[in-house]
Amino acid sequence: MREKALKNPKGITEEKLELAEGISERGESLTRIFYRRFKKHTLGKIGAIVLFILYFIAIFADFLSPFSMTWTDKRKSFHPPTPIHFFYSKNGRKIFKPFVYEMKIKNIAFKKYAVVPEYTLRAISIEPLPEVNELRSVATDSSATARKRRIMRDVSRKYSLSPGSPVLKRLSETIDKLEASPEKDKTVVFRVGEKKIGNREHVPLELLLVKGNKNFLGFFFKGIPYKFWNLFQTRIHFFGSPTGGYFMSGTDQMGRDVLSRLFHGSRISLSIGLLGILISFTLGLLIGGIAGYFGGVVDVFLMRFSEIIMSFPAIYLLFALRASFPPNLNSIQVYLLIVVILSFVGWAGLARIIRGMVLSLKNEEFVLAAKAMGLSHLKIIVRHILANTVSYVIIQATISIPRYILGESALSLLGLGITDPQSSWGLMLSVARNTRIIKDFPWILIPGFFIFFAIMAWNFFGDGIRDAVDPHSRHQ
Amino acid sequence: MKKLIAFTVAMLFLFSVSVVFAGGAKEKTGTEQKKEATTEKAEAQKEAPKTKEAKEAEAGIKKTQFEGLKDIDYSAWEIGKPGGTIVVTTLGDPKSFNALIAAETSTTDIINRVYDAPVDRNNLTLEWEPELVKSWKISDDNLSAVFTMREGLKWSDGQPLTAEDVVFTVNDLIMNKKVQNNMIDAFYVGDKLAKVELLDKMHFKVTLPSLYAGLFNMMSIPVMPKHIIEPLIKEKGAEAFNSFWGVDTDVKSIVGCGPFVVDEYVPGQKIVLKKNPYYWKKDAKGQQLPYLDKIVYLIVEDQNTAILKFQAGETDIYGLRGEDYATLVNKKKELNFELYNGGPAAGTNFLVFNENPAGLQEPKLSWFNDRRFRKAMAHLIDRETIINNVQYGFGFPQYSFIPTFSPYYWPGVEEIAPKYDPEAAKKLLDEMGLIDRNGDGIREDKDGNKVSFVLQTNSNNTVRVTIGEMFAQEAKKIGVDVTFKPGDFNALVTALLKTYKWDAIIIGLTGSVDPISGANVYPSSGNLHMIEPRQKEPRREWEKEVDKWWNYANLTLDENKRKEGFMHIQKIWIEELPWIYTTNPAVIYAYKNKIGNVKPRPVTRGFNGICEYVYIK
Amino acid sequence: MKNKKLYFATFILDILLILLLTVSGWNVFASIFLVEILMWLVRLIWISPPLLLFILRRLGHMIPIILSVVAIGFFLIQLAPGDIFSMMAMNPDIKQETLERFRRAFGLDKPWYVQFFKYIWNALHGDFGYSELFKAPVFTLVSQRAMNTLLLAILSFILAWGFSIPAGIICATNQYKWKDQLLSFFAFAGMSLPNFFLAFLVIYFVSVTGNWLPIGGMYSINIDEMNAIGRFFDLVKHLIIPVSVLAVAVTAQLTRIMRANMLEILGQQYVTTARSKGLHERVVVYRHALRNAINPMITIFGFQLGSLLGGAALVETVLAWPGLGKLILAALLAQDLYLVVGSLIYGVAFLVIGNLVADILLAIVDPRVRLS
Repeated sequence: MREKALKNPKGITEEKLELAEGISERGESLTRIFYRRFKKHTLGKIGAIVLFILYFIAIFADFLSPFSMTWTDKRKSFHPPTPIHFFYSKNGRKIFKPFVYEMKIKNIAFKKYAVVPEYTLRAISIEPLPEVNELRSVATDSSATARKRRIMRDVSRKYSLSPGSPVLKRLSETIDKLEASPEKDKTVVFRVGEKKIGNREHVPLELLLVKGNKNFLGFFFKGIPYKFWNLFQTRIHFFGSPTGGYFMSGTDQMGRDVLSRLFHGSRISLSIGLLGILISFTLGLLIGGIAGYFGGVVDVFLMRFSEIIMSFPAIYLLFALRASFPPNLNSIQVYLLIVVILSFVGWAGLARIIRGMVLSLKNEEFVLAAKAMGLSHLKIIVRHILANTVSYVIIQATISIPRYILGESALSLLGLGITDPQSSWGLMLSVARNTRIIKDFPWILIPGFFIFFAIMAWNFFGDGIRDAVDPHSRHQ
Repeated sequence: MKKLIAFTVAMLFLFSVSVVFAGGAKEKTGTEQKKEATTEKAEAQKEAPKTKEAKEAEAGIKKTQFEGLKDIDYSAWEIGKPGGTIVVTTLGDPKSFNALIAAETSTTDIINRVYDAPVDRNNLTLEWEPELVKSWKISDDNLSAVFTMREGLKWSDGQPLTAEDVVFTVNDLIMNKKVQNNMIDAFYVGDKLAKVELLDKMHFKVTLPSLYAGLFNMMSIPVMPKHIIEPLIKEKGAEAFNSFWGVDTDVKSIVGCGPFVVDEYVPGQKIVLKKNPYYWKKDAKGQQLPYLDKIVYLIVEDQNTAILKFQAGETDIYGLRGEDYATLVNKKKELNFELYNGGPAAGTNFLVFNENPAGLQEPKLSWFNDRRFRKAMAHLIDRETIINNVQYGFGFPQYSFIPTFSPYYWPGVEEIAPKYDPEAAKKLLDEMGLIDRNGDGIREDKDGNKVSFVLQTNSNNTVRVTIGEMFAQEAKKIGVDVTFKPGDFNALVTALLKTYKWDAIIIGLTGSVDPISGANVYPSSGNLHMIEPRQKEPRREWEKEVDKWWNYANLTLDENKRKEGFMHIQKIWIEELPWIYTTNPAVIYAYKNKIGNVKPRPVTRGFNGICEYVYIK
Repeated sequence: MKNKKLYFATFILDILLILLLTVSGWNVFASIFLVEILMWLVRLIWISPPLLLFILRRLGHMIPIILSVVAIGFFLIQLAPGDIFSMMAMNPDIKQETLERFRRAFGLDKPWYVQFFKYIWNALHGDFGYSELFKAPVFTLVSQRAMNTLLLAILSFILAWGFSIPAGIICATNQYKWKDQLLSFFAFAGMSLPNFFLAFLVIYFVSVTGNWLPIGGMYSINIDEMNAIGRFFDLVKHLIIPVSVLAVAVTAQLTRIMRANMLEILGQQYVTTARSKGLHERVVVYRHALRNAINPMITIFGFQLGSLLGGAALVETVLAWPGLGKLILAALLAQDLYLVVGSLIYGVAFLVIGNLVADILLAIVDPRVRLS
């Protein structure tokens, strides 16, 4: 009932309603009021949920992605998204066992893929070290001996095994056994030996020998090794196939999994907004506060400066700033540089508004009182004046974040932002600047949908926050 | 609980996305699947005898022949018939109609049809051939040559074209420091300039300060009309020439001596060239050239638009990128055109290591100066994959700075060159004492320095970015930590030529039939001798050799000596690997079947095949 | 009455002057531009001298801003490594000395502030420099491109306003009904859809369904064979994709603003009074509420123009539209100094003039606003 009343300004004026709420919910803390109001905002809630999911993906990107950010299968350039088959027929019975077919490039010019034949034999090793590419030997020869020969050759090359070595003999026996087994799709683990790491650890070198053309999918499978949050090493990924070949949203030109790059890219694309807001709002608040509080020459100077920045069309200023900085930076520096540039473009508007608010606040009694108490200027500005602009600032911050996400993707799209081998959504979209690629490999547009969803979620969320923090505000 | 719900929602969402896009890939039913497998089996059995070929194909080794592409016949020009118009696209507006100021392809594309040179390379044989001159006579000491002009040459405005124009172009324009052009550089022999003198209306003489092979290069300059430009310079000074015949002039006032004249220019839309009635050249049957009445250049912003125009049937010629093949190949019948393979492009893409003590510190300095290190890195360039992934199969592995079709190319490089072989690379690094000592997967030298370096390239070149990224991954596989940083081109050049602070760079240079234009590049004194530019004295033994052979090849007019000299340089270059060549895209052109005399060469003036011989069947 | 005569007289004079200039060899567009400015000044002096004063003062305000923008441009280009001749430096045929000669001729041998003052001095004499990249005078180059961008911007504005005002009214009058929900959802989606991504999607859609619309560029090739009507339709065909892509976000934003404005106005007492007087709802909405609801939209006109220019830069690059944004990007990457500065000046001037126009419009529609 009340919800309706709140949304209907015709029946009851908002002031009265506020008063009524204030009385009935006496003793409630501000955050609780805020939370209660936010819960009523459906779109805001949807936004919050989507944002939660997106940031969850960003945080657990390396666990959730089936491969790593830079993992490449160079034979699989523009591999299409693999359709999942859910039922596997075993001895004439259909059982629920999701799998994808292993595909191989059939036409290089068209980048057309076809499923490899059923009699394929594969050897897939997983190196215990992160970012070290493992062996991926695929034998599609029709005769069993030729298949074995190829696998043996590749394995002995990879591990520098001499022709007479006992490992190779063991391998030969294992392959024979595997080929002879009646089961159509079978995987055996072959232990090549041990590897010494750092004079301490002995880790097993394992080889998956896969018969057939199917890659079975599963949760929590063992795949490409990675360092989770750079803390501990693991091989467990959330969902995918231990034998590879599963590209939920295809691969890019170099043969990197789009989904994994998307997840890793979300770290950059999504965090840039938060970090950018932090910097630009600190700048905007301080500059606006100082300008409004001191007035006079300082005010004139700072406001003229912000005017100049505002009179640049934002994206031109972005380009100009980015182009003028040395590109010889490492990936973290580039990332920070982009954040700083985006923030530098973003603070001016806020500073002007804050200045206006400060001007109206600075002659209030509580400020005069603080001055009389002899507090330092900075303290007065921060503690007493800026604290009063908090609700406005919170609203503005959530509403501004999409601008940063957009700014980053625009820069990266044009090759001025994040560059390979790093990943960001804008960078991933930059291949789409070729019409033919869009037409034939549309899955490379998926990052664009993520940009869209992220921005929309932030907009919804910001709308919800605004209604919750400041119900008086108009929707502008 | 809530988190769980959120998580499920996320996964559902991802699945929905994947399902939507998986729709693009053809889903195969069980039976189809089986069929596929059986046909494959049959195919495989069929191919069983040709094991070597099959094996190579399996290993991803590319066949040199491209499917569906016609090779070009360079044996002779067909006799055509006059008349007709062709429509082609050109990328971007021309920047100027002034042949001496022009630099970019969008400009030279047009300019080269409007001006002619005293001598030029024959499009078919790639040998020097008289154009505006009738003949030449080289003195016995090989230090000077007298050129005789053709009789009856005329400018497109009907005025006579004589040796005076040639000498004026050289002495008053090209050699004039106030005129902004770079053609003067061709006239330098060492630090001295060659001298061009007028003998009489029909003859002029070129005197070289010392023996030099670049004599004909000097004379392949566009000739400008003296009767128009001399009054201008007298009146307004030589600077006025710099903006003369800019894009804002009335195109009809432009006077040329090439097969065509500019008829119309609509900025941003098109340029129309029409037949120059005073052009001197005639075909074997004595017909006046050019055959065509008109060439219409449509100005397009980018390749995407250019291919659309071709597909719409609006244009007659299109230069393909590898990725365009798939779009066009099935439309041959419908649009009535043929695809031609023009061989490898002339330019180069290579990986170069800094060996300059002025910009690089130890231990990298000694690694990069070690031939074994560079060779190991050369073993990591997987040219087949680059060609397959980036050039969609339409590329050539490259091992030399001289294009394969040049008479100076030495095929021996293909044998010697280190091929993709990570195992060999590992061995070489082991040999150098760069071994993974602490088991972190990265090699260290004996002092514990990690073998790592930064690889840069310009980020707007997707081919180089892909090559770099692939190289970095291959290097990581064998325990060399390569940080790959694509960046801005201008900054790259600054590091390369000014600050010298860089480790490794992937970059390219334009190529030409005659490597003599690389005097800035290959000798150790050149400022594009990237490993250590502008050395007073060559510091490395092999550089001394290169310098020696360079002079041997270029300070002579004897073709055999030149070939020998360049052979040695190419051999040293591939053995020492100061830079490591990668791949070269194939030059593919689509021509409507109605066009005759389709003979593009990636380097000559008619690089897209448009020349005076082209005709409509 | 007096005004009507004035308009008529100036209009005749206007046409005469344009004809005169065109006949005497001026560019048609340039002469229209010049004469229109002149005529509006005359009219303004006649109608309202304070307005003229206001405009002049605001334009005067622009001068320091443009000066600082130029200075920033020079400084930033200076900061970046390399220069416009870096590309040439990689050409094996060109000697170092030749390059140095080129650099001197371009003025790059001086420090940036010297270049800056020299540029200002030349600009005051009508010389905005020469683009090394395009080998053309900056002024003509940039003017031409700016017109193309302006065409995009204005058309998408018209489109956006045409859609968003009715949409806003529908939302407000049907608050919380399905029409409102649906339109609001679309507005949110439109606001969140990055325009470059929308352009990619449109390209995908058009190319998969058989290229029935031109995807890139501004003209067809056979444009000169067409008559005026054919040319017009050709341009319209090329405009459809970029204009609609640009208009989506603006429409979405304006719809939301319009809805909020309308809701607020409909809650005001005078509307209630009007309703209680028994006026028809349509009269209330369109006669009384609408006019007041549009006023705040005009204030954001200037701001929107700025963001539209920025957004257009990306769309122009993706769709190969020969506009200002694409030009400035090319100029920045090549470090073509004078071209960068020239296009920056244009961009800034657009923004400032956009704000000015918004202020004047507001003053015209809302008599409560006084220009000062």
